[in-house]
Amino acid sequence: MSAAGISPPEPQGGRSAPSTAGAGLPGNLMMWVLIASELLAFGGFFIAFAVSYAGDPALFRAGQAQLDRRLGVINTLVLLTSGLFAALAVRTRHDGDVRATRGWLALAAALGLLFLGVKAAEYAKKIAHGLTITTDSFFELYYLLTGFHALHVVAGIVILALVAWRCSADNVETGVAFWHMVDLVWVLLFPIVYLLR
Amino acid sequence: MTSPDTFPSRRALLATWAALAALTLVTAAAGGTLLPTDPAAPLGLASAAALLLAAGLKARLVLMRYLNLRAAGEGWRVLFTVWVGLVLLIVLVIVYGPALADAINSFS
Repeated sequence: MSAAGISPPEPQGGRSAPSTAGAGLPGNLMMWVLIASELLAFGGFFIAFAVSYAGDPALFRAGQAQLDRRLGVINTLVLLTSGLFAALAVRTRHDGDVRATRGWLALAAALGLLFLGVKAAEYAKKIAHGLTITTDSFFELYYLLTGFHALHVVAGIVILALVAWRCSADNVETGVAFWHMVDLVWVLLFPIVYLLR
Repeated sequence: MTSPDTFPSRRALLATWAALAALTLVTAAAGGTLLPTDPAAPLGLASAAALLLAAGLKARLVLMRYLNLRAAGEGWRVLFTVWVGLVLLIVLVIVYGPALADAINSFS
């Protein structure tokens, strides 16, 4: 298929043929370019967060104490389980079962929606307590970082739906790689923003 | 596209998920989430290091297994692992700079 495009579906039940990977990386090279650029960007954000923390540790600790860390742990498990379902979709598509692949993708997307629901409840609770993006520098960074990540979750759910529709092995692997990138960012974001103090 | 032969088996993916879930509990414990503690109290250097180490191991598992980076060349594996480790180390040094200096001085 083209570098980042959506290719037509393969015949139902057909096994995917092995192919060479771009630049020695598994899957779609352009998706790896995106993953690397996202890791660079979020890495910069995390370092900026740490610098702000070091500038006013008391304010950041007080802000972190207002967060629901247990909800964060639950959301981490939700996203990691969603990642498992997405990986099983890739495995299943390589084995040639399109129907089961779509099932795994639907489950992965459903858990993505659950993640967003928990995040929305978390935001609603904070805002009800008067903790908004203008409250202080901690909450400004909290909303920006978690909001930017949540937008990636929304994009990931749309991509999972797209590749479930155009369900070639190549498309599924590429779309799921984006989903794992979203997972990867959260695995780093949660401990840094919610727990490290 | 990845060769189907190099993509992890269902069993390997389930084992990866179990390891990620276990490391999430380690993260939660190191971050003082499991026990009732003062939510604003500092973690201490050892807990902070354990927290970020667990996060780094989780990130590596997602890269190597879910994203199947283990099928890539060694250079790519090292590059992604070093980047994640470097970011976490820089964060730890910035947040825990004075405590780290004290710990290093106590050993020297």
